[in-house]
Formats: sequence, structure tokens, C-alpha cells
Amino acid sequence: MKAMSQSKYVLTHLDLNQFTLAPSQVWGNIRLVPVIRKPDSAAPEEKAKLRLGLRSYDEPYSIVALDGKPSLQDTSTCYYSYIPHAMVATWSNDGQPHAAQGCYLKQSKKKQSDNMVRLEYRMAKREGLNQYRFLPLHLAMEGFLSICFNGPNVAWGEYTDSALRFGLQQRSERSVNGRCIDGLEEALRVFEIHPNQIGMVVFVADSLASIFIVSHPLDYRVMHQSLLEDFYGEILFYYGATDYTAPDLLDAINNDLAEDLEIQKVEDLHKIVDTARQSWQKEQTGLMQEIIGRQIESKVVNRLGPFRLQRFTTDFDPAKTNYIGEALVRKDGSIEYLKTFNLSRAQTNRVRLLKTLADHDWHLEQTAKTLECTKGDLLKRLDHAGFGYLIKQHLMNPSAHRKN
Amino acid sequence: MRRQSIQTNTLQFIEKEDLMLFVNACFTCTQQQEFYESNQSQRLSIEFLHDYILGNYRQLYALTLAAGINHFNQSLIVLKLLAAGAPEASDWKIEEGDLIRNALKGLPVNRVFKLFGQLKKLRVNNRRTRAVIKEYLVSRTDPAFDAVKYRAKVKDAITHTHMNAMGELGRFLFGVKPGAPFQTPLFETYRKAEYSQKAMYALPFTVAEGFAVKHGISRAQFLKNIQSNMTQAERLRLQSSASRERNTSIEVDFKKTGLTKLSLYWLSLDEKMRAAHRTKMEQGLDHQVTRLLQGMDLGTRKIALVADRSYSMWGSYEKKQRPLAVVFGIHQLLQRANQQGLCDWYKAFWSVKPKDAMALTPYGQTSISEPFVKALSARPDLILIVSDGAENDPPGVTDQVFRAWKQNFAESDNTRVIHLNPVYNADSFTVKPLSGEMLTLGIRDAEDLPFLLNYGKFVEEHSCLADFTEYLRGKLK
Repeated sequence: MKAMSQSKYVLTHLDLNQFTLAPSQVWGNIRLVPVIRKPDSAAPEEKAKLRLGLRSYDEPYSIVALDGKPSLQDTSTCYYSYIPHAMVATWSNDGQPHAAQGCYLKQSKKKQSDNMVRLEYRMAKREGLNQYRFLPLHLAMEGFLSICFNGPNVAWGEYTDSALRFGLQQRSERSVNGRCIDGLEEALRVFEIHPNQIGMVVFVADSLASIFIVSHPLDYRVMHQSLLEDFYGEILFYYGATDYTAPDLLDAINNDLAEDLEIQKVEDLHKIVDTARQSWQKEQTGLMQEIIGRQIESKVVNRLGPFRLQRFTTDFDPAKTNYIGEALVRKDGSIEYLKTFNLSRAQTNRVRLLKTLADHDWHLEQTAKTLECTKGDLLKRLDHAGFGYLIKQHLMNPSAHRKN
Repeated sequence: MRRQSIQTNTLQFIEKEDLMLFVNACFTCTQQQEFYESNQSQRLSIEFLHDYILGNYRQLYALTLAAGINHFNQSLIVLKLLAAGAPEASDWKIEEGDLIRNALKGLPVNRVFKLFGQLKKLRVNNRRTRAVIKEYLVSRTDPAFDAVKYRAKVKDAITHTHMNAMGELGRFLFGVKPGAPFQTPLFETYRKAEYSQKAMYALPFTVAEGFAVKHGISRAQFLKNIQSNMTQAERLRLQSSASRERNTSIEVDFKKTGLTKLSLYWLSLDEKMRAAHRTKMEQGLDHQVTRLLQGMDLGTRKIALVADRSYSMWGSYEKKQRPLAVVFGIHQLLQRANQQGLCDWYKAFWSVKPKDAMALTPYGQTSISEPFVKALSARPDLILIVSDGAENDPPGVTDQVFRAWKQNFAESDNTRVIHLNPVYNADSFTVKPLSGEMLTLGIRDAEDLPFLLNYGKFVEEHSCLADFTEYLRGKLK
């Protein structure tokens, strides 16, 4: 495992150097940045090919049995959410083209399902030799929810019996559907997809909403509208409602690009276009500074032939916006699939609290010391974060206890 | 209408700006939905613009009717002029009358009757309006045909103007429905069609369609038998309707359809159909272009076209692929002009290069600056940019390239650059320019190209309103 984490398979920080960020297309307060893969030096035929497809789920609600046992019967842990679609990855080792089974473009003969709930086994599941199904972004979200899910590992007196025995009872987080973000639907409609575009960076009021990258341009074309069905951080709903117009970045850079350029003949006018493109790339990368180059902690979920499926989180620094996400990475470190979700401040605080507790073996005094507060304050914070049920009642609310 | 210009420039300049803006709007706007805008905003914008121009430059407003603007705006101008009442000065009055008469003569009949309907709805019923409607109705060569095909509308027009509809026309329009036999053959056919299928097939397509439902005739059967009575536009329009029926097809004569209509039809076909009809289409294009180019002087030797085929050129559900059809039409026109030796050199520079120009689809981002630089590098005499102006890869750079070129090379290269834009922008009351310094003209049909080249030259050379008036008066004669 140690050797593996040192290899390029596992992401240690996020950079988009292998991609070109084409100039953004703006609609109101939504800025959409097309992502294009830079031409590769290795012959593309030799490389293993990965194709992604969407398999749509009609049910309004899904339950995923995380341990793969029949759900609602033997399962100990379940994940509940609305899941609009699963992503199916197929790959070939020899560079032969592939298309994911169950994701062909064909006329649907299937009747719309009458079920109200869908039962699924595992977040990510192998389907035959070269095919793999996973639930996009839910995979990352489930990883986020499972952080410190086992509860205290030392039986300190403050914790309730059930906390010690069963760990955390349940964890839930809120997010918003893409349709709830004002203007996103229209922005996606009027967006002009580049011929070799393989991904998109979505900004709402110039705050990063999501990075979405797939491996093949045709897959992206199919999945373009699925950005609307994905879920986003809660704050983006409020950003979407703001009366803000994303500015033209060129104005911010330089209003007269030709000024500093040497233009001798008509052909030199190309330089203006090239300079503009470079400036756009730079400015747009600047907008993503909170995630680009930041240290991330990745965990490999499974290996898909020459690719590794992993989910990652940033360092939960309370001063910055934090992200979770998932990625498929090739042996040489190139990103073949990426999807991110930005956490709200409250979400960051919750998981930071749990992580700090876990770092101190769930010892309350020591944790309070690290967080520079008193034990009473820590208990209050735990209560506000929704973890009050882990602590014995008379400690949580001593005054009420005395009265009785 | 630009606040900045008021401070810096003379009144003459404003007047010219206003007028150019209005002519551009009149070429492009049809009050329909566009890719980036709803029909509601288009309606508000064009209505305001018409009122503004009518209020400030009434004479020019009327003269615009002669500028070859689109049908929608022609009928809107006639409507507003009639609603505003006759002008005081007698020479204006006569000129306006002539302009209105000519415009109505040039408009398709259905549009004219629609206009009369609007006049009735708005309760515009002054003496001039009644006279105009009456004169139009009297001037029609086959009133019986009009009465059958546009029955309700003709009825409206007659009641609105209190015209005397005596004889069979009156009985046909206002009488009890089955009635006694008519002497006029078409009225008689109409009367018989209530009972006889044979008579029904002798009626115009749109009228017969209603009877077909009444007689319970299947759609396939009906389309097969009515074909001889269809107009060319109906033939094109009903292609997809016919393809839904088994063993039914409607023949299209590619040679009888105008260039833009033909382009629109071609772009609506899928890959398979395009492959099947390709030869016919090429012949049709040859025919149309030869007809258009007869006696026309492009006036330049080397022409470059910067063609935008980005996804936004798809248009909207109301005007499907209209912008793209203009690009396609102009490309075909210039390509054939080159083959026929009307210009020495021609090349198209696409935003995203299509594999085959005949298999054109709206696709990709709007990258104008790159092909524009390539076009400039070829040093042609004329560069036409056809684009909706929504540049996004990278945005605003064409402006910078153009300014840099103008500063450094414009004098030595002697190239004319014209941006033709098929899409009306409601916010700015004109078409969206790629650069404030570039000549930007609205375009509705590819056929308008010769006129626009001429008009563009005039706009570049003259700057005052009086010249403009003279120019449009010249068109009138």
C-alpha cells in the first residue's frame, strides 16, 4: 500500500496542467469553462482506452447497500439519496475502442419504472471483465460521510453506551440539485461545446462549483446535460440567486493586447489571439486557486485495469473552501475522470471536529486543548454540530440535570 | 440612441447611427425567438424601435420600406404609418401613399391579409386605411381565389372597411353556408367540396385540408392526391409530415426554390437524406446562383469569407437554423461566383472547419479571431464575416485584431471588411457587432448579399441624413 501511494496512480495534489482551459462562456452569473486535453506525446493508439457512459435511474429515491449484502435485510450500513444516474466505465488494454454496455444510444423500449425506491449494491461494482459501475459524486460523498463513522475507539466515560458500541448512528449532509441553481439550465443550453472538449469547470458568481472531466470528447457531449442533474454545495444556491454578472476577464487583463506585441506583418496578428488565450488560461486558473495545487488526501476505491478509481478530500482547513471529489487516474498520473463537490463551512467544521477527536483518540480534554477551548465549549460545539447524542445527557446539559 | 455619441459627435452622426441601426433591425428582426433571446424581448425591442424612428424621422421611416427590408418589418411599418394617420405636408402624403402601395404589392398575400386583420384588431379605421385596404382588394386579379383561400381574413377586411360586397362574392362570404349553386367556378367547387371528394381536390391545399378531415380521408391518401395543388413553400413545409406516412413522398423541385429557402430545407435533412439528394441539390444551387448572379458585379477580385458555424447559429425552434442557412447560402453563392469567373479568388475560413461544406451543421464554439487573422493574411479585397456576433473563443479579440490591423496595415492592404449578422439583438436595438469600428450590417437572406455590398459602400462613403434619403428615394424609382 505504501509503494502504491508513492506511485503516480494516487493523486496527492490537484493540477490541471495536462488540460487547456479554453476561454469561458458566461451567462448571467454562471461562468462555464471548457476543458480540453493537451495533445499527448505518446501515440494515442497504444494507450489503453477508457469510455464512460451514463445509466439513468428513474426512481425518485435510492438505497445503496454499502457492504453488498441484500439491502434492508442483512446490511449494516446503507446510503440513502436521490441518484439520477450511475456512471459505467469500460476500458480496453489494447487501445481498441469500447462503449459501455447499457449506455448505448438507442431507442428506449424500457418502460419507465414504477418503483419509488431503487435498491443498489455497493457504491462501485464490477460488472464483468472490463466494465465497472459507480455512482458519480455519491461515491465521494459516501467517503466523506464515512469519515470517523466508527466512533470512539477508547471507552472514555463521557460517551454514551451506544456511541461506544455502534459508533455514529447516522450522518447526513445537504446539497442542492443543479436545477435549483438559478440560470444553470439556460447557461448549459446556450453553451457551445468545443469539438474536442472533455470537461467543464462550473463557476457560480465566480465561485468554483464543480470540476467535471471525462476521458473522451464524445462521452462529454452525452454527459453535458447531466451537469444539471448533479448535486452541488448548498452555498451555490444562494450564489445563483445573486444579481451578479460574471465579468469579461479580458477587460481585467488588458484592454489593448496589441500594445506590448511586436507586429511587423499581418500574420503577426496571430500573436494577439495567442496572448489572449494564454491570459484567459492564467486568469481562469487563478479563479481556481483554492483547489489547484492544494494538498489532497486520496483513497483508492478500486482498480480498473490500468486505471485507479479514487476519492479524495482536501485538508479541511477552516480558513479555506474545502472540496471532496473522485477521480480515475492512469498509471502516468493523467486524470481520466474527475468530479468535485465543494463543502460548506458547516460541513467542513463537522468533519474537522470528528477528525480532531479521532486524532486524540476521542479524548475530550486533549481535543479541547488542540482546538483552544474548554471542555464545556467543545461539548457545546459537538452539540451544535449534531453530535450531541454521542455524549451522556447529564454532561451535555448539566444545569437541566441539576434542576431535576 | 447612444448616450456617448451625443456628447462627442454631431447631430448628423447620431441621425446616421439611428438610421443604420433601424435598417439593420429591419433586415433581421422577425419578432421570433432567437438562440440567446426570447420572442418577448424581441417584440418589446422592435416595437419600441419602430415607435422611436416613426416619432423622430417619419419620412425616413416610410422610405425604409423601399430598402429591401424583410416582410415582417415592412408590414409593421405600414401598420404604424396607417395607425399614425396621414402626414400634413401633401408631398409627404403622396410619397407615403406610393411607398405603402408598393410595399403591399411586394408582400406575400397572406401577410397583407394578416396586416389588415391587425388593423382591425387595433381598431385603426381612418379614411386612409380604408382607402388602402379597398385599393388593395380591388387591385387583386383573382378575388374569388382570395375569398376561398383567405375566407375569414377577406371577410374581416371587407367588414372593416364597410365595402360593398355585392353579387356572388358577397353571398359566398356572408351567405348561409350550403346555399344555391354559384356561377363562379371556384365558389361552386368550394360548395361542392362539402359533399364531393373530387371537388375537394380542386381546391387550394390549405382549404382542402379541412375538408379532408371532414370526409375522413387518410392523410397519406390526401397528400398523394392533392400534390398538384400545392405551392412550392407547402411542398417544402410538408416534407416531414409526408415522411411520417407510409409510401408517401412529396416531390420538391430544387430549381424553383429561392437560395435561402433551399439552404434551410437542405440543412433540415439528416445525413442519409443529404447523401441521397446531393446531386439534385447541387443542380438546384447552380440554377439559383446563376439566376442571382445574372448581370451582377461583385466589384472585387479576391473575396474571403469568415464563416461562423458555431452552435448558436442553430437559431431557435421558431427559426430553425436560419443563421446557419445564411452562412451556407452565402458560401455556396460565392463559391459558384468564383467558379463562374465573377471573382478571381475565393476562400472560406470557418470557425470550426467542416469536413464537407455540404454536410454543414451548427457545431462548436464561436472562434472568429483566428479565421479572421488567416483571412487578413491572404490579403483579399473584401472580407465578409457572417456571424451572430456572440464571440466566445476568446471573446472580444476580433475587435482587438481589427483595431491593430486598421492601425498598421489598413492603408497598404486596401481590404474592405464587412460583418454581416443575421441575428437581431434586442438589448442594443441592432445586430451585435464584433467590433465597434467594423461596418456591421444585418442580413436576412443570402439573396440580399448584392444589395448589402452596395449599401455597405454607400454607408462607408456618406455620412449625412440627406444622402441617405436620396439613396432610398433612388431605390424607389
